[in-house]
Order: sequence, then structure tokens, then C-alpha cells
Amino acid sequence: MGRRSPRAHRPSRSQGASAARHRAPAPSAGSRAALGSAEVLVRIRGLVFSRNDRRIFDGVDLDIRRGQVTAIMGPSGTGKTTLLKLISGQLHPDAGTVEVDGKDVHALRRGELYRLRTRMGMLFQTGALLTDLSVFDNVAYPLREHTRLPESMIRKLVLMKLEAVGLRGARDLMPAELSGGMARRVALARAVALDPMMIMYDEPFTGQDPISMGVLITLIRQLNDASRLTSIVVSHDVKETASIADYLYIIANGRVMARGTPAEVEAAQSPWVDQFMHGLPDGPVHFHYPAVRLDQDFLG
Amino acid sequence: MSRLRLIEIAVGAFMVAGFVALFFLAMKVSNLGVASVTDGYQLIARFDNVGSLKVRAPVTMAGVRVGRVEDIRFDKDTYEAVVSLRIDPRYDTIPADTFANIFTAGLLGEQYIGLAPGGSDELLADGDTLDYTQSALVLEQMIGQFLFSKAEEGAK
Amino acid sequence: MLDLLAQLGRSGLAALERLGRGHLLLLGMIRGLPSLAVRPRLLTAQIYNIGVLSVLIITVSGLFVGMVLGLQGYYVLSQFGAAESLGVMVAASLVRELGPVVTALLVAGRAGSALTAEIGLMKATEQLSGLEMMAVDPVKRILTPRFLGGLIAMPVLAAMFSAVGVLGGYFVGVGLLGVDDGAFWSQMQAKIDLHEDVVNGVIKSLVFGLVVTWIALFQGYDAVPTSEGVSRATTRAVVHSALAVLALDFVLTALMFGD
Repeated sequence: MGRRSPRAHRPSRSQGASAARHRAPAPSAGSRAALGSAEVLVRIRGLVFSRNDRRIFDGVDLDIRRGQVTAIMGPSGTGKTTLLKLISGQLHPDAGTVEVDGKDVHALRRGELYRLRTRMGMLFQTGALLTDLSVFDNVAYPLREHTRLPESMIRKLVLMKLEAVGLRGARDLMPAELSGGMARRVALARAVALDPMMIMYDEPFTGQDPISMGVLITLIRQLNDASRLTSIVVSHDVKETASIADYLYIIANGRVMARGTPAEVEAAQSPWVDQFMHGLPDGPVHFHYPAVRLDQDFLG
Repeated sequence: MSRLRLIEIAVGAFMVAGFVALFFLAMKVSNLGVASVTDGYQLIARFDNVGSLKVRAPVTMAGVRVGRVEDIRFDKDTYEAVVSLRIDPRYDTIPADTFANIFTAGLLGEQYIGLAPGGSDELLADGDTLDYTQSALVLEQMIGQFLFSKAEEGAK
Repeated sequence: MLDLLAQLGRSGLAALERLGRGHLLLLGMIRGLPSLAVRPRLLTAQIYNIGVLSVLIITVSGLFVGMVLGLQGYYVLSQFGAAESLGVMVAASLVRELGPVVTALLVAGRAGSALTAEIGLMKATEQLSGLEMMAVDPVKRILTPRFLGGLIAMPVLAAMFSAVGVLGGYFVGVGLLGVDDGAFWSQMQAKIDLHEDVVNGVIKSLVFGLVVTWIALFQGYDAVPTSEGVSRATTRAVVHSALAVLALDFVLTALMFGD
């Protein structure tokens, strides 16, 4: 008499239940094994960008691989948000190329760029919901704009997306009535409304309480795996980001200072990376702002 | 959805009110409501001096407006001003020996043509010329005449 | 000395840059007009925000301006024995000048500053960026409806201002000061020409509507995305609009009402 295999493959529906857990589930076996051999979705080569005479990027090479969560970390002000805008074509580099899915973003004409953007989702730091629309209308916005689906279909899609982020019951609230964490989840639902091929997260963990942080971490990882997305997370929250990332880049002073899986970067010998990853107050990035010697200041 | 409907109704009312205001301005404030210049028959009057008479100035008879000045031209052969008057067709009993004078309305007022009817049985028709005209009074000429007559008086 | 020149040069270039950006935005908004035709709801919402919500301030101001014109006009004209011309004076002043200009200034203050603040805030909270990322052109979706709304609302408001003003002048002149009722209207009707005065006034207010709305939207769109930046942009919008309206008024008056 045969027995069912004890390791029946869990249906994806149960992944919704795991939202209650705070620890992110381990990335699916497929993505980890495919590191390094996965296809590159976003390819950046020799990126140079300045703003107001300040060199923000000085020759940056990056690869974002399909199906993975890639984290881009670094101290505040290194231009991480700028990088996302360069990838989406909102800003133009001074030199270098940014290729998304094989297309040079900055060589595209307006119509093609817009079509490309419908396949990219972005989660802004503040959520950037349209303040005069309800939660439901905000999530429905891209669907109503870019598809000709009937309203009944749109309603089902919106409710599905809201369910995935756990806010289906909040559908009639206005953005002003939402907490910061909830607003970000709604923005996330909106970002995935058109089932994009990749999502960019701009500082998703900043200023979040531990519970919302946990929820977001879980959602980012789950969405990535369940929908076979590619995620780019820009953050300086080391612990949280490293816990879900498949690959890391640390950018500072306009260049890539470290790259690799979280384990590889952790084990790196660079004192700078060490200071950053462990949050040490003093090291290559000095504690003291440059000044004359202390005794000169007091006695001079 | 009801808030949207309210907005749309309000905008509709707004546009209607605006058009009413515009209509009011056009009809009650401007000269649109008054009879247009193109009806009526034409009379010609020749003056030595039209002063500051302008096109569209009123033509009155016994103080009632019966028409408008349609055109003012200069005759280079007779050195006269040729004024075309457009008279309302209702007023078709203007005698042939009517006088056409240029008067001034009020102190600052603009000049207009006043018709003083004569006694002839013959009536003016479209295209006829008024034979008797009185030119506008020019201030400098009047002062000159006044001074001249005063000088004459003094000399006597 | 050289520093000062360099500074001047930089400011000049920066000013030219802003001017250029402003005109590019105008072109962008005009390009968005065809796509507005399929979304009339956006336009009506904006005509409501800019026009309907300004009706109260416009009509009250118009009434008072008309009444003051009646009062002052009477004092001056009666010195020349020309009090019968009060109607012409009030109507001409309103229809040709005060209607379009004062309406434009009031709308710039009330609706223009609101537009600037709204757009500036949308920029500061990354809503405009968000729309861009959703492959929606914020200029076509957000700015164009507001632009056309302001353009349409302005002449409507100016007509209301002039109409209410004439009635205000009538109330004061005929009702309170004893000017002859018939003379008030008949002189006005004789002297105010539809094409010369009323239509020119409408054209003026259309031009002002374009300029005021454009400046308000540009200042918001170009604002520095902080709360201080938005507040500065709002002030700038009102000041620039006012100056532009008055300067254009001179130019238009010279063009239209000259001989």
C-alpha cells in the first residue's frame, strides 16, 4: 500500500499565513543555488553621475540578477535613491550605461520608456500614495491607466493585491488615515498591481517599528519568490537587509566598496566594510569631523 | 459618486452664471441691443468744417436720435467734408430744405449732427443731399471773431 | 569685482534656465490637451476648484469695486455737469480694465497660490515621481487639467465681476446719488461697444488666465521639494502673476484701445 510522500509540496496559499511570523522564511532553494549563474536583469557599467559639482557615482559596475533580492547598502547620502532613479530613467547619467532587460534605458524614446516602466515597480520611502484617492483607488490606479480591463476584473485584482499585503479591509481608508507602515504596504500593493518583472524598494525599513519592519521583510521576500520577481532593496539597515538579500553591494564615495552574498561580505577583510556592517563608531569613516588639535582649540 | 455629481452641477451652474453675466454685458451694457447701422437710408451732407465729428456719432432731430453718421470723407475738388448719414427707415418724412448742424453735447461732450426741419413739401429719399448745413464751431475762430469785433468797437 | 560679474552671470544664466523650463512646461501642458478630451471629469473638477470656489470673492469684490466707481465717478463727473455719463464711466472702467485685471489678481491670490501649494506638495511627497514610475506623465495628468481649468474659469469670473460691478455702480449712482436711471443705461449702451470693449475685455481675461495659471503651476512644479521650498514657491507665484498681469495689461491696452 503506497503512502503519500510526507513532504507534500505546500501550496502557495499557505505563504499568506506565514505573514504572522516575524522571521523571514529562508529563500527558496532555487534562487540560492542559481546565484552567479542567474540571468542578469539590470546591468550597470561605468556609471558616472554628478549633482551640484559633487561626484555621486564615479565608475560603478553592478549586476542585478533575475529572481533574486539584491541589496544596495551604504552610508546616508551616497546616492542610493539616485541610483534607483537612474535605473528607471528618471535621471540621466553623465557617463556609463544602464541596461534593463537588455535595453539601454537612456536610449529609449519616451513611449518605450513608459512601456518599460509599466514592467518596473517602485516603492518610495514615503509611499507616495495619491492623497486625494482612497486606498482602493490608489491600487487600482495603474490598472485603470494602463489596461482596458472591466471594473469588475479590476476590483478582483485590487482586492488580491491588498490581500497579499494584508490590507484588504483597509480598502476604503484615505492615505491620511494610514500609519506609515500601512501606507508603505498599500504602496507595495500598488507597485505590484501590474505584475512587474522587478521592484525597487527605496529605504523600506527606515523609521519602522519592529512589527512593521518584520511584516515588510516578510512581504519583500515572499513577493519576490512567489511571483518570481527581481527585487532591488536600497537601505542602510544592515541587519534587516542582509537577512533577506541574496546578494549585496556596498557603495560609498561613489564606488562599489564590497560585493557578494551576505556571508561573503561579512567575511571580507576590509576594515571599512567591517565598520559599516557592524556599526562601529570609529574606523575608516572617522568619528571626529576634521578640526585642529584639541589643546590648540582650548589654549590657543 | 454623489460628491462628484455635486461638483459637476456646480461647475455647470458656474458656466451658466458666467454666460448670463456675459450676455448681460453684451446686451444691457454694450451697444449690441441698439439698432445696427446698416438699416435705413442714406443722406449726404457737405460741411466746411466737421470739427471733431466722428463716425457713429448720432444724428438727431428735435433731440431724438434718428440715425448715425456712417462715413466722413474729404472732397478734394471742393475742399469740403462729405458726411454720409444713415437714417432710420421709420423717419422718412424729412423735408428737402432741412438744415444739418453740428452741435456739441454738453461741455465735454462729443459732437453730433442735429437736423432742423424746413418747410418744404418735398421729402428726402435715399441718396439725396442736404443743401443747408452749418459747420462746427471752432473755438479759435470764435475767439478771433470776438477779439476782432471788440477791436472794431474800440476803434469807433 | 570679477566675482560680482561672475555672480551676475550665474544669476542671469539661472534665470534663463528657469524661463526655458517654464516654457517647456507650457509646451508639455499644451501637448496634454488632446488626452484631456477623453477625461472630462478631470477638467470639471478643476473648473470647480479654480472657478466655482472663487465666485464668492469675485462677486463681492466686483460689487464693492462697482460701488466705489459709482461714488468716485459721481464726484468727479458732477463737477463738470456730466453726471449723466456715470454709466459709461463705470461700465467702461470695469469691462475694459478692472474686470479682467482685478479678477486676475484675486484669482492669482486665491486659486493660484492653492495650485502652487498643491503641486509643490505633490512634488515634495514624491507623488509626481510615483506617477512617473507608474508610467503616467504627471504633466498631462495633473497639470494640463488645471491649466485648462484656469484658462476657462478666468473670463467667466471676469464677466461676473464686471456685470456685478455695473449693478453696484447702478445701485450707488442711481439708487443713492440720484443720477437719472435712463441716462445711466442709455449713455452706457451708446458708448460701450461690443467688439471694442466687451470682447477685448474677454480676450484680456483669457490671456491673464493663461499667464496666472501657467505661473502658478510652474512654480509648484519647479519648487524645491521641502516645506520651506513650497512656501517660497507659493509667494513667488502670487508676486510673479501679479506683475505679469499688470505688465501685460499695459501691453494689451495699448494694442487694443489705441487708435
